[in-house]
Amino acid sequence: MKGETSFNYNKKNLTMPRVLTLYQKCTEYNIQGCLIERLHYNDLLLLIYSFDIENLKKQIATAKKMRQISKGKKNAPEIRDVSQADALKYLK
Amino acid sequence: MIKTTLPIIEKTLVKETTPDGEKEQIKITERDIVITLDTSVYAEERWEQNFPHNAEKETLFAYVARVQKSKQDKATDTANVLSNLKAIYCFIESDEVATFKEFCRLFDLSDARHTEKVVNKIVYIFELVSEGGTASPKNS
Repeated sequence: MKGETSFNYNKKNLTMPRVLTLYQKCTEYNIQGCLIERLHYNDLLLLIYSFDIENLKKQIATAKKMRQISKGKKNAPEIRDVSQADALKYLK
Repeated sequence: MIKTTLPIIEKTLVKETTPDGEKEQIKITERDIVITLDTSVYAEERWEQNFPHNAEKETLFAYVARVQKSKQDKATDTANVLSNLKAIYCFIESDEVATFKEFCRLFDLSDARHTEKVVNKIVYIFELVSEGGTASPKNS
């Protein structure tokens, strides 16, 4: 068929194996090799989930803070430097 | 790491001298081998490497949980036993068992008595594996 390549660019082929995703998470959260070896699979998953939840909580908290800061900026009076002529115009 | 045993069957050809002459006979010996169960993420890695079609559908531990729930671990038909042996193979860390084919050769599923022993062991190993973690419902 026209435009068909020998390699099948199926979405399924590009998904990363679960184990690799787990190893990626272990590296991200600095979980040591000996711990990975010793921990039961379910325990390791639980540890990663708890780190994920903690991470998400932190992200939500920072997002909330950022939103509050941006809201505060909108309500606050705008301060700017004006020239002498502008000041006189305002007073007249 | 959990150590346990697995009942296996060994078949060897033995030469026997009878008054009629020498005869070759198959000698069947049953014995238990010591295996070490690895319930870490490496078991899951072996599951994905050796049985990608099964791994596509579910994780090794999800498979064990499903089989235990549906009581398929107690089933004695060859198809179910073979599927369960796939899972057991992934938990085993041993130099004696290189490939899944070699592992299957250790059992004689045509022998009902031996199959029953293997099934009982499968049930026991699945229990050990699913309750081994501190996050299991029994430990919470």
